[in-house]
Amino acid sequence: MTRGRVSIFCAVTARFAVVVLACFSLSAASFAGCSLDVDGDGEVLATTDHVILTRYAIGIRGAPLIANALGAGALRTSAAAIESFIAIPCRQPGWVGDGTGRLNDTGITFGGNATAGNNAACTGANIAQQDCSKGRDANAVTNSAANGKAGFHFTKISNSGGKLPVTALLGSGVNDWACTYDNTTGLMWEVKASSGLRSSAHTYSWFTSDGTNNASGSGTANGGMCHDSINCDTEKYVQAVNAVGLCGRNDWRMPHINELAGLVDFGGAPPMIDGSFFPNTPSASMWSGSPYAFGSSDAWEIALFFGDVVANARSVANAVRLVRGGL
Amino acid sequence: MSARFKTWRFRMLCGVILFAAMPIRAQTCVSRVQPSNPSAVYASNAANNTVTDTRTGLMWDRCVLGLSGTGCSTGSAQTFTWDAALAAAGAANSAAYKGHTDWRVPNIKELLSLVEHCRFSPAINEIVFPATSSLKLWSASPINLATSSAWTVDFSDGSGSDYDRSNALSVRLVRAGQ
Repeated sequence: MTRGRVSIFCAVTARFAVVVLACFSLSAASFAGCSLDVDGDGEVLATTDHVILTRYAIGIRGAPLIANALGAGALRTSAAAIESFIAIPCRQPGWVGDGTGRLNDTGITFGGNATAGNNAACTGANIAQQDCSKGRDANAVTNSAANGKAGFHFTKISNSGGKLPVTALLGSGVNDWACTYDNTTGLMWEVKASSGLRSSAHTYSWFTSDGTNNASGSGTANGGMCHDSINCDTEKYVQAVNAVGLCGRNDWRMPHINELAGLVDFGGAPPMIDGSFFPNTPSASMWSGSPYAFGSSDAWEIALFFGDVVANARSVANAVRLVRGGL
Repeated sequence: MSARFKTWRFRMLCGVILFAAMPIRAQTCVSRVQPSNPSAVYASNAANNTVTDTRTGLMWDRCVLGLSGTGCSTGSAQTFTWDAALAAAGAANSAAYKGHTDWRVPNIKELLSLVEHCRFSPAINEIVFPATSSLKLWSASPINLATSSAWTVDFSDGSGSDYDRSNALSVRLVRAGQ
């Protein structure tokens, strides 16, 4: 995106211009993933989407953002849903969204016998074809323990969004560690805290007001136990973390179930994650943002005691870890 | 706001709508759920009836072992114990199956990436992967906490769980993307 192209718009709505021009500067393969249909009614209209985008670009949030500006068939009818959508205007199609698309390896470095028993090392039945013999975990070039267990490759990120050395400690200072970037998937993850808004002890029910991806059900509002008594559901937690600008960003979102599964260390003990880069992880179930197609009252979770990927009722109070794409 | 500015924005927005409307043979999703794996993300390799996920780089066999044809309507799906499934991947490589010698049984994360969450029974893009049953498929990943099980994905809904290694399940081979 060149300076000359930006200058055409800068007298009007700078951030809207960035949204539109960013979309058009991408390659053709991702072009179709840039959408200006912010209210989700299937059309891009001057009286609705344009109005909302212009208001967003000059900093308007909340109810005034969408007042009298929703299309008749709008599926995103709340400021929360629309703000989340605008924050990430261009996505690759499907679950990859704003990540790289590359998959993490599983973290499994042990082998199993044919019918029963596991071994400490990568030995066992038909071992050359087992998980432990393949991928980043099995490759000396990519399985350095210095930047994450086995084939995982993580970088610590500070509260101000900068890269940190592996020795960085958690904290609230601008140069303290608060997020972890996954170099393989291109996703930046929230690191849970021992107290405060992002405490690992907090739980949230599953709720969304984005009608384009809810399997025709909103879920349960405020069904968890968290930092206050009125905002304990997944949608409100996303809003709260964006409001404080975790790691200098405000485009945090709920992860797709595949993204959450990508973080799991299937070779480890509960909570099935590299604790050096993800401390304070509860050995509990964690919500994804993915609705369950088989039943509109359920959504996808990962049971971090075992690693199971299952559906659960949206009223259930689970742990949450937010994600965003890019550094 | 100048008239010229308004006209240019309209032309750009027309471009967005036109591109989005380009017809791609779409799968059937449950209402109000976004697809995880729309048909557009897959590149079909007609020469050997395989499919590449352009995002992950994984090349999948179009059919589970035992089935063949572009509609996977020839033959019948073979089933294997976990150990036999691993051996079958080795045998495929020895035979240079479809011209490649580096096939593998997918690990659990690779198998999960195949799930289409906008539908069920089966929870897969059936346009791209026809005739897929709603049963479990093996992964190459053993489980640490259940020492006689290995990870599977149930394609009735896409859930991932452990299953005893002595069970007989189908296998879909994969290569590349690591």
